[in-house]
Amino acid sequence: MSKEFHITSLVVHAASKSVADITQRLSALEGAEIHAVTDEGKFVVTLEGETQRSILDNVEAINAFEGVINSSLIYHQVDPIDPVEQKSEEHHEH
Amino acid sequence: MSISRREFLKANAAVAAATAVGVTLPVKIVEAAEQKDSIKWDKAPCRFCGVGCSVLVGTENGKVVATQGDPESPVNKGLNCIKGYFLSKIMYGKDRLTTPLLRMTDGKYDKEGEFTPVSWDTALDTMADKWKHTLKTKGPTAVGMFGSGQWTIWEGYAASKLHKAGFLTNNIDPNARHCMASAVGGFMRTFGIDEPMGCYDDLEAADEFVLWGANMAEMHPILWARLSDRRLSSPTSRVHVLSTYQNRSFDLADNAMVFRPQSDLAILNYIANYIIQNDAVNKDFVTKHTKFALGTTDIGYGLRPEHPLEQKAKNPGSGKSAPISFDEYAKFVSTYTLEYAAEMSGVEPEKLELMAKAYADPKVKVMSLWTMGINQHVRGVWANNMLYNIHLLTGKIATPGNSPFSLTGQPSACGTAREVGTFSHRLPADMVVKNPKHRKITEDLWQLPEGTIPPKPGYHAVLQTRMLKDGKLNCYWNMCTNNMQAGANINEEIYPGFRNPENFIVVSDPYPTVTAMAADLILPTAMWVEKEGAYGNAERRTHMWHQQVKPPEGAKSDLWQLMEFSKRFKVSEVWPAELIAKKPEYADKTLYEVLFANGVVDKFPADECKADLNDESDAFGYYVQKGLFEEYAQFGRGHGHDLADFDTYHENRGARWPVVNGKETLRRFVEGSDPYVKPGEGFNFYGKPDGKAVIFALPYEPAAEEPNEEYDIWLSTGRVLEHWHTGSMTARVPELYRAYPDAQIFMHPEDAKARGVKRGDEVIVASPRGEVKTRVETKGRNKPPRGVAFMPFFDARQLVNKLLLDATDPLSKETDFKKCPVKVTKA
Repeated sequence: MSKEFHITSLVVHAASKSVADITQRLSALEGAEIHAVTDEGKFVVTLEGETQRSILDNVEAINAFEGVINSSLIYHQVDPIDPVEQKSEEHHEH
Repeated sequence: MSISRREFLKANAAVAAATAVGVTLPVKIVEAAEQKDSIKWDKAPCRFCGVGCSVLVGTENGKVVATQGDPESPVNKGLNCIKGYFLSKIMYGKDRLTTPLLRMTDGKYDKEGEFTPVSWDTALDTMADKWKHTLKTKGPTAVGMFGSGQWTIWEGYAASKLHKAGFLTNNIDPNARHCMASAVGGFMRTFGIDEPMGCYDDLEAADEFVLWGANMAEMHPILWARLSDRRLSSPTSRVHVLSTYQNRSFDLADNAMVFRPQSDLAILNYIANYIIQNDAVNKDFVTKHTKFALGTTDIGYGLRPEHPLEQKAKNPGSGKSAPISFDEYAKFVSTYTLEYAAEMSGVEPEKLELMAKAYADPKVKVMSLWTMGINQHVRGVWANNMLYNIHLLTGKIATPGNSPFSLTGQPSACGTAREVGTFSHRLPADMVVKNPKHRKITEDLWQLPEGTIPPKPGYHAVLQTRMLKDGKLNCYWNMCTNNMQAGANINEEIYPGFRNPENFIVVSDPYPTVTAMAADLILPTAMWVEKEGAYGNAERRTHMWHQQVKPPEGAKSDLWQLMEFSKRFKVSEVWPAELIAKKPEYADKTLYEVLFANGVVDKFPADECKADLNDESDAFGYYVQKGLFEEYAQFGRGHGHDLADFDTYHENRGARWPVVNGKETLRRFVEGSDPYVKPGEGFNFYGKPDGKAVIFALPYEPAAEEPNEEYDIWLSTGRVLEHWHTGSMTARVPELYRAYPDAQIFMHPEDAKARGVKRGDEVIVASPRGEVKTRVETKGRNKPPRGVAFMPFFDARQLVNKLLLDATDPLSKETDFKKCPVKVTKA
C-alpha cells in the first residue's frame, strides 16, 4: 500500500438518551475526534488514518454503537504523505 | 506532509460536517480551513440514485481527488450516503475502456470474432454501414436503441431526436421502463400529467409516513436521514413501514407490517373502504376536484401473446375505463374489509387499522412513499392509481405534508427519460407519438416536414429483446445501461437476441459490463463530470454540472457519439422520397445538419460556456449543451413544464419545474403555489381537460406466477445500500466492493433448515428459466418471513435476474422483479 493520509468527516445522529455514552465511545476510537455536538444529539466527527480501510472500519463500528440512529459521511480526501515515495509504490494500489 | 497540512485537511473536513448540521466551530479550526489549497471545487449532482443530492467535487491535476456533500444543496444539505462519498473513485476503475472494440476475424468484422481495438472512424463507419443496410432492406422498425434514466438531459434529447426524426423509428426506450414506467402510467391515468405534485419539503411537514414497500434506509438514505430527523424531533409523528420482508427501514418503524407479495392491492382498497365507511371522505374536495372510473380488469401479464396466461386473459393490455359514481365506487371497494385485507396480506388487523386511521384522520398529514415494490409489479399502474385514490378521497394532496410521493430510482429517470420523452410512445413534455397534434408541434419545433415522426409507438424495452430474438430488430444500440444483468429472463429472451446472427449490437459504456461483452461493438464512454450534464430528480428538480476533468484518452461522451454518428447519414439515404418531397432542400444534407446544426441547436457560441472544459463544444464548434437544452425547453414553456433558462442552472442548486417568472414550484395543482392554478380555484388538476383527477375502481388480481410444489418460495430481487444497480461503477470502487463483495440469498432460518442448509452454505437458486449459485444469509440486514427470499442483482457473477419471468404490467410494460417462484437446494 502507498502511504496516504485519509481524512473523513461525518455527522452521527444519536438518540438523546445515548449522547453521553456515544461521546465516550467515539472518543475511544483511534483517529476519531469530536468537533461539536448539537442539542439534537448530532455529532460532528472526523476520522483520520493511513488507509481507507481503517476509516471504514471505524465508520462501521460507529454505526453499530447502540443509540446511533443514523450516520452520514460528509467529506472525504486522500493526500499522499510523500509524493515521491507514493509514485514508486503506485503499482501496489488496488 | 507537515502536521499543519494534516490540521488543515482535518479542519476542512470538520467544517464541512459542521455546516451540514448548522453548528459553528471554534475560530481556529475555521481559520485553518480557510487556508489556500490547490484543489478546485465545483458542484455536480451525484451520479447514482433519483434523490438528486448535490456534491462538491474537488479536482487537482486533472483528477477528482475529493468530494463532499454540498452544504448549499436543499436536497442533501451537506450530507452524503456511502455511495456518494465514494463518487470520486467511480471513474478510476482499472478496466476503463479507452478504445472502440469490434468483433473481428482476419481484420474484418465477424460476429463470432474476437474483440479487436479499432479507431472511432472504423467503429462508427462500420455501424453506419449496418444501419444503412438494415434501413434499406427492412425499414426503420428494424433499428433501435436502448437508453437510460442515467443519460443527461441533452443526451436523451439528442438520442430521441435522432431516432424519431432522423431514422423515423420510435424504437427507442430507456431502462427507466424497468423502474418508473408504472409510476408514469399512474400519473398519466390519474392526473394526465407526469411526476409528483409534492416535493421533499413534505418530509419535514408530514405527521405520519407510510412506506409502501420502499426500503428508504438503504435505497434513498439521504431522504431517510431527513425522514428520521422529522420522526425524532416530532414525538407525535409516526412511521408505518410495509414490505414483503423485514429490512433496515423497520428499525425506525412505529408500525411494521410484513405483507404477502401482491396483497398490497387488497390493502390499498381496504384503506379506501375504511375512509368511506368511517365517513372520512373529504366530500367538498372530492366533488369539486375528482371523478370516478371503473377500470377494465383481467388484463394479462404483458407476456408474448402466445403465452397461456395471455391466452387466458379476457382483456390483455387494456387500460380502458368507464365513468362511475361515488356510490358505485364505494360499493366496489366495500368487499375489501379489514378481515379480508388481513387474511389476504397476513398482516395483523390492528396494524392495518392503525395505518388506515392515519389516512382517514383529517388532522393528520400523511406522506406516502414508494418505488420499485409498487412500480415493478404486474399491476403497477393500478397500484399507483390506488395510492392516489386514498389521497384524493381525503383531499390529502399537494399541500405541505400531504403528499403521495413516487420516489425515483435513477438520477434522471424524471429529467431525461420522462420529461424528454425517450420512451417508445412519447415525445417531450408528456406528449405522445399517437397524437397527431403532438407530432405536429414536435415537427414544427424541429423544422421537419409533416409526417416525419411515425405515429405508431415503437418497441418498448421488453419488446425490443423479444424482437431481437425474433430477428425483427436487427441494429441495436445500448447506451448507459446494462440490460444483460438488469433485465429479466436473460437466458431465454435477452441473450439469444444479442447473439442472433442477423443482428448487430452496439454497447456504449465506460466499463466492460456483461452487456458490453455480449455485443459486437463496444464504444468507450466518458462519464459523469468528464462531460457537461443535466439531470432531473424525483421532486422535479432540474440541476446541472460542468465538465470538470478530461475523460481517459479515447473515451467519448454519449452526446458526442450520437452526434458524430448522425454525420454519417444523408437524409436521402434514410428518408422515403415522399417525405423528402415535402422538404427537398434537406435531401443532400446529413442528419447532423438537419437535426443539430439546424440554426437553433448551434446558435450559442462555445465561449458562452463558463467552464474550463467542454469537449463537445470544442468538437462541434458551438455550445452544444446549451443549444440542445434551449431547443428542448421550448416544448414545456407555457405548458406546465416550464424550465428556467440554461445559464441559471449552472448558478443554482437546481430548481423545481414549472419555473415561471424565475420562481420554482414546490407543489403543483394547488392555488398559491402553482402558477397554473388560478385564484379562487383552490385546486386544479389541469393535466385533465376538466381539471379533475380520476379515482379508479380496480380490484386485486393475482401475480403472474405463485409458488407451487416445486418452486416453493417467492424471490424478490433488488438493490443494497453499497451498490448502484448492476455494480458497473460501485463494484469498481475497492472500498464499496469490499463492503459488500458477493450477492447472497436472504431467507428465513426455518426455510433454510427445511432445505438442509444453514447460514453461509452454498445453494442453487433455480426457476424454470435458469439457476444461480449463491450463499445463504439468514441473519443479515434483510429478514424475510417464511416463504419469501431476497437477492440483490449487483453481482455480475450471479446473474439472478435470469431466473425471473419477463412478465410486465400490461399497461406500463414494466417488468415485475419482485415475485418469482424459485426453488433453493443445497449446492
